[in-house]
Amino acid sequence: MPENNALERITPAINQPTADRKKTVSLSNIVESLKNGEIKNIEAIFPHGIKIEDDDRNSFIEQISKREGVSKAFAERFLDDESFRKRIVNICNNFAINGEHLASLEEAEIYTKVMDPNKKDDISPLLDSTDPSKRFKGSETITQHELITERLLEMRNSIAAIDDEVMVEKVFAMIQNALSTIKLGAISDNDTWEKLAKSRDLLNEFQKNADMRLLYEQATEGQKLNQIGRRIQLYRHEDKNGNTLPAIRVDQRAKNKETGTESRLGFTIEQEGETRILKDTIVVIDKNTRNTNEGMKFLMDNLQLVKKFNIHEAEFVANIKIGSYVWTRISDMDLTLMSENLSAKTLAELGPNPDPKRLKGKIFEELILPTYEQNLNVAAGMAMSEQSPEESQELKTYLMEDVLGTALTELRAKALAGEATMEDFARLGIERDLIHFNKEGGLVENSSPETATIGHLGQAAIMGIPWKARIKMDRPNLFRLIDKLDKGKDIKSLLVRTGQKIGVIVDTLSI
Amino acid sequence: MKKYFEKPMSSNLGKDSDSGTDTEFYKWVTGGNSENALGAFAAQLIEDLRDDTSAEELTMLLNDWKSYLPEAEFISRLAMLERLMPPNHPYHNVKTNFLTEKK
Repeated sequence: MPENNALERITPAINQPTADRKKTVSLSNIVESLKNGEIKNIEAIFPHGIKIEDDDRNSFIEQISKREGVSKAFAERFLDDESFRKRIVNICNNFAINGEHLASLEEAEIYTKVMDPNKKDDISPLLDSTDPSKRFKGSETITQHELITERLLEMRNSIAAIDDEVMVEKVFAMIQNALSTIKLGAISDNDTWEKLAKSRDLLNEFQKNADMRLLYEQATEGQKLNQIGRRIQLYRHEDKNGNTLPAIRVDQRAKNKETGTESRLGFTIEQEGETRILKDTIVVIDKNTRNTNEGMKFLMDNLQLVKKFNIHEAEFVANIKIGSYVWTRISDMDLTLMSENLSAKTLAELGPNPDPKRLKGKIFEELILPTYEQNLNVAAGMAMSEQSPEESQELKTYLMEDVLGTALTELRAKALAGEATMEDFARLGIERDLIHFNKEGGLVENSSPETATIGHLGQAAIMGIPWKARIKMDRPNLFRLIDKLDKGKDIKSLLVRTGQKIGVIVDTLSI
Repeated sequence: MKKYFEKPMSSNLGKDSDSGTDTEFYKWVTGGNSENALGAFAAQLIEDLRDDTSAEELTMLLNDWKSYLPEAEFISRLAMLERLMPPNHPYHNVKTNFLTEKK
């Protein structure tokens, strides 16, 4: 660092004996110790606050924001606001206690932004809730080396999602070049990535590569390559409109000790204006790890998490089999999220700030209806197989005229007008259960011994169609959610029927 | 700089890695009985109301209930909470104020 660096020339306190007053400390050293969690109380070093000569003040703010990636407002507050400074020290210490270290003060700034105003500065609930080995018996956390390998491979594999071939080649070449520079082998060889993850020096070199940093950020929607081995990621995510949103992601894996099968839990909390959104939830729990009686507890613990971190909304993608049907009952699609997947041509046609109905109509037309109608035909074909001639005629009339004729025509018109909901799609043909599903939710022939459930046509047709939604997680909406699923809306009777006990009042509900 | 990656629309909520389905997961989460799960969920929500709920939040909740529940169910819920909330809980005032104002 140059001699005149303000970071290197901070006077600890002003009201000290003259001899001490001349003594200067290197604030850059202090910042490093701070990030490592080595400073327990910064006020012990600066008993009267951090005082800097005016000339140095601006220089300090300039330098710290450049070096640590923090905003100038953060740097100023760090200098001027004692309680804020204490909070930052506290956050750094808490990370260290939990075995993680901040790579830059920018992460502390992100953390305070997402966790304001509820000031939950202990990260252990975040880490514990996503640690499969803590939540499920019989599984053990995978090593940091395994975690890094997995994440590097994920970055490599996500190239498959790029739909421009020239771009894919370019990205491959960039990665191969970065690997070759540090004398590693082929990009396609998993062993290359194992070696990279294993060696701290190689990984350091790789992380310094500007192309790789950028690629990793893009593949992970903003996460930093220098945080790759951490269970908790702090980053800024740029949304489609160019707004920068602070985000916290926790993501952990564990292996079943006996079978070696992996489980993985993760979620992101993102701050959008005043709203905290829970998103990108990953719940993969290895079958052998799922103890029968733990499911409900898992669900309830997660509900507590929503409360603990003051989550306002949860974002989900339903593209899974039978489950999608339940999702349609609790939420409709989110137009903003869905519009991100529309083709450039359609978006251009719609123009800025399109009428919501027109937008919804286009989303149905482009993203839902094609697959839905194709699925309907396949499912109807399955339903008609193996029928006796008499049954077949009656069924054919029902399917072809009533459902695929009248009802579908009405639904299509309603959808194109932007007036349908995802539930309308799921409900098509609800009056008659005739589609046979196996336990994986796949369609099977009517006589198949694999039949696990029987459902209706809309239920079969909506499966495998991805759609995005947001649910408000405030209390009124959570109660609405229950009322929607419990069609009777009589909550007391629901509680009595299912034998619930609340607080000290044990069985009196039924009196 | 050109953006390379478009995020694929995918979800990994209980999806089984072999079959790609979530059916088994939902069965596990609800303990095989979705009504019981719903009951437990409702009980948990009410339990949560018992600690640190502000008068403002409670008023919001009552307003929302009033807006969509059948009258009988609304009255029944008020009575249920009356019994379930601890004696010094803000609910009791909120309920009295709510009923007085609505009259």
